Amino acid sequence: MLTIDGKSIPLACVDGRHTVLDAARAVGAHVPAFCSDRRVTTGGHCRMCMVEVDGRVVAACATAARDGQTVRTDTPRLKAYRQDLGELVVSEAAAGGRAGAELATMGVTGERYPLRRVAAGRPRDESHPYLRLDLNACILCRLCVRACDELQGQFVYAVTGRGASTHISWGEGAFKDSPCVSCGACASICPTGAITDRDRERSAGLIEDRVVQTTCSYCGVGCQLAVHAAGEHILRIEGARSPVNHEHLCVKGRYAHTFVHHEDRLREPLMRKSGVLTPVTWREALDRVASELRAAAPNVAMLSSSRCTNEENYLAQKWFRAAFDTNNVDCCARVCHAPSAAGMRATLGTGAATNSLEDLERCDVLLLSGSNTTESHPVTGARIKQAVLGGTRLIVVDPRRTELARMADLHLRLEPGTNVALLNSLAAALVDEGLLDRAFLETRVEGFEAYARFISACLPEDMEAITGVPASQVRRAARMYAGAARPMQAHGLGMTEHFQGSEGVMLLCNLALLVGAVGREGVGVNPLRGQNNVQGAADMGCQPDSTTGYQRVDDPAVRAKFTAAWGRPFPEREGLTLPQMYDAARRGELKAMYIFGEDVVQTDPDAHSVVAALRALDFLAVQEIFPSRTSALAHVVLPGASFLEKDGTFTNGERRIQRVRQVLDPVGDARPDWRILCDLMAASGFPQPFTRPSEIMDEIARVHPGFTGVSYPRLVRNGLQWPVPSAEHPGTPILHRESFPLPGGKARLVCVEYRRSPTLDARRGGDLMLITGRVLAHYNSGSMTRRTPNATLEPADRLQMHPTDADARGLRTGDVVRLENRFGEATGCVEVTDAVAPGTVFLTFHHPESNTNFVTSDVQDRIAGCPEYKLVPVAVSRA
Amino acid sequence: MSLAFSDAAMRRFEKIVSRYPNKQAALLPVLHLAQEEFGYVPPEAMEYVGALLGVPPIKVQHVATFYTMYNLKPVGRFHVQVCTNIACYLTGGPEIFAHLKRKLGVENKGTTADGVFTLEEVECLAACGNAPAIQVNDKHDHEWPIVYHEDQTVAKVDALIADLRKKASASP
Ligand code: SF4
Ligand code: SF4
Ligand code: FES
Ligand code: FES
Repeated sequence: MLTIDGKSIPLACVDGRHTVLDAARAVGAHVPAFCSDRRVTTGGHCRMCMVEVDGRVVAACATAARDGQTVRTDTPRLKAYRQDLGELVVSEAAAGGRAGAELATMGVTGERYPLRRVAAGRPRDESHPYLRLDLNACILCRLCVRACDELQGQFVYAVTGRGASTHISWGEGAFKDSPCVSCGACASICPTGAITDRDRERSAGLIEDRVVQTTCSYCGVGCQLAVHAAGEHILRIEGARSPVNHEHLCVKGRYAHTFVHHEDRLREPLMRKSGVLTPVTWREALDRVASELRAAAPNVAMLSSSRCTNEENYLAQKWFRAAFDTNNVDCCARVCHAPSAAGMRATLGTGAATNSLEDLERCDVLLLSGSNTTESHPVTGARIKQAVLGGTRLIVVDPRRTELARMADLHLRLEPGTNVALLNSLAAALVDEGLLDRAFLETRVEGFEAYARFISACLPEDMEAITGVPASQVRRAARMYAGAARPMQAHGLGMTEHFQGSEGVMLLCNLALLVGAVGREGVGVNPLRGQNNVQGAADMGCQPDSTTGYQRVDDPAVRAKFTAAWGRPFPEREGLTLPQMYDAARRGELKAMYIFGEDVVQTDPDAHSVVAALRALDFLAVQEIFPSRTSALAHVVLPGASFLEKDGTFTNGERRIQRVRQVLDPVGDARPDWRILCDLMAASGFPQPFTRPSEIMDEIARVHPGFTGVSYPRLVRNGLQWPVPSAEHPGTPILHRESFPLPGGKARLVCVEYRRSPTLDARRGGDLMLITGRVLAHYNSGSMTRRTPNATLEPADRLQMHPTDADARGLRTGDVVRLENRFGEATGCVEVTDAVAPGTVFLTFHHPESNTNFVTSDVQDRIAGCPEYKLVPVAVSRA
Repeated sequence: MSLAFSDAAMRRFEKIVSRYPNKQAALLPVLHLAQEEFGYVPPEAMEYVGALLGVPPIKVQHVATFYTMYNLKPVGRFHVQVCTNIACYLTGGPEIFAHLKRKLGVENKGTTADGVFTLEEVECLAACGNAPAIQVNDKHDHEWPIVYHEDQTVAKVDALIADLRKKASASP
């Protein structure tokens, strides 16, 4: 028993993990607490939270709740102490925010002590596009320091000085030049307004009328957002409590939302009339699309959108398959993680992450391949940083020296394009040194004998000349990985976007199988899915060889099932992949295309040939939120809704199906995309009964065996991780616990030989090898992030170049250069850095002016058809 | 400006680091080494030490600005540190400090033109039982680099300053 102000407390609070402050809050006692926040460790700095425990005055936030305590929070003595403390606080700092409000309600006047305001004259700064600092309001609670250290791991702040001159510091110079990555955690946690942000400043005076929890649309992590809104205004976005992001966010999720009301938004349907895209009514636009597609069927194709919801992706493929008798359906997974899906399906039986983000805290070694996580999946990146700071060992496989590579215990800095050679040599070291889980291999894996014979020719000493990684390092990495109790893997597009992308992923699976690191906590093979719903788009069946739930179209039973479910004959022939669609269009065989939420001209490789393909079509329809290079080629453009303007679900990279909830009405005449698709289906003579997205999910649950137990009411809190085979099933955080969904229930070891990418044959003397990718502030084509102040953080596409290559060309940081090869020309703004190795350069593709994808190559992954974005020779010269 | 340890200092650095379970833990002694090596601890030294130890520079600043024994600006031969914290405050510390400012003709943290004295007001020197207290560091005295003077009065500090002046001219 523990009593607080005479009330006894629920036992759950007396479990040793809770404080007296938690307990007081649980019974509804109000205790001011300026320096405590559940996101960070206890500080015990402010002493505002003092209470009496068995008559002794203690800080409630720093005292464990224990059985038998008698706590008082409101004695006259405590009131007097708090009051006095409050007076001392305001004698020093002009605190605002929640602390300021609290002091005002306590009746603190500032008259008791002469105004010391030593604080006046402390730093102020407004140099940053989002963060605002005025440390004159600071009460030194140090929450900002703890948030930056413990949530983001960025170490921007420290407490400087001593005694009366103590203050928060970010070092010398303007804040925008500090190492801050604009995650906003400090502004979100500061109780005084000393650190605040542009959103809070902009929305001062507006009265919040709702907080809506939804899912971020900026990457496959799937952070939960708490969107604070008033009328049609977004006041600010906070991280919601969720196992995915634990209230943390990154600069995109928290701040990059002002694109919603940007003037460039498409607000009405457009149709090409005498060559010009002209506003028309919805009726006219919908009818035109339906009749054109019907006329051209079955020589039509759908490119669905990994940025849109599950429900929308489901409808997109259902529409084309059932109404136009074609399996020509694909999505942008083709250009990112299709190789992960293919590679993992071949070896483990399921093409998705085997484990959960939570396992990052459970593993003791993390092997991270081809992922610049802190920029591309920032909240997961921050989580990895915390794990590493807490002692998890990290092995990074990457040609670039990324932020995590700098923190790593081992950085295997391989030559770009040699993933397969390196991973084979790692596996060979495991077999050579007997670092194997024999019991696991015996009972759960097929093909070890043949594999062992094959791999003996791939020893690190043999591969060194190809990969450029010293054999001793490879062997150390093998020992570290195999020596762990819980070795985990995560990988990014540096693995998949290669000539041997799918095969590289198979080799990652091999490694995990050899040491028995699948099917339990803290291990596994985990692709960090790129776009917010690329997992979902594939789950929903937006691929040419299988429909919803990866049910293959060449299986007559599957076709019969869907024919019955949809009431239309299901097309027999496997459809075209995205690159095949382009080829067919250029040959005149594909007549019409529907592109949904994707700017392929900017983001697909070898853009000149993409443009040629789209121009060759008789009809192109584009469903978008902003005009793009792709929509400029369309005959009809339909204005869709952003994720903030509609309902639905996204599935993140750990297979978690999470709710997307509407916060705002769509701008202008724009409509939620699922509604547009329903309207188009009706116009195509295939009307749908759906009045809301939850009904679409109910249908998905009927046809997708892994979704049987999924329904909106069950997704309310933290969503569900598929498979969810029944309405009572709690979801599946970890796959393959007992067996693999492959013949015999066993996983397969795969023998893959290293092959040189054909792209290397085109290398001319003086060429540098180009790797493309993303930076923190932007998301893919940048259509959204460029239309927010994130553009100030990263105004142009940067070309990273090693000092030796820069010197050889007389280039310096800031110079604009031309990149050129047989595919075309691009431009970039040089950043001289040793993050790239000599001979390689790195360029992002967020800004249309740079034309990055005019120089990416036509080489594709041999199995999944994913383009080799990560390797192409270019000549670089001053523009 | 880029600073670096001399070879000799580097050897001492390695020895210091070897005594700790990890590099980060050696921050305090390495900052002392940097102070000896560079005379004081400018921001560049904090960055250099941070890079050597794998500690973010801002966290080096946190530590270096907290302890009064790290000098953030160049100091004179004798670094005279006058405590004015509570016990010394009540027993005359502030008067002694004011007197020394007048006598030496410098403000807080100022150095005399001849480079002999730097005067500084400091927080508790942990000699409260014999307050008011003054600490004097002598850069050139390797045997007694730090000396405490307790139970001080204005008269006593006059004598102390005279003594130190003599010491300075005898062994510059
Ligand atoms: S800036 Fe805000 S969060 Fe940081 S110490 Fe001051 S009051 Fe606390
Ligand atoms: S915004 Fe994030 S990274 Fe920047 S200072 Fe605040 S907590 Fe640190
Ligand atoms: S909230 Fe407990 S000491 Fe600040
Ligand atoms: S108060 Fe001066 S030594 Fe403690």
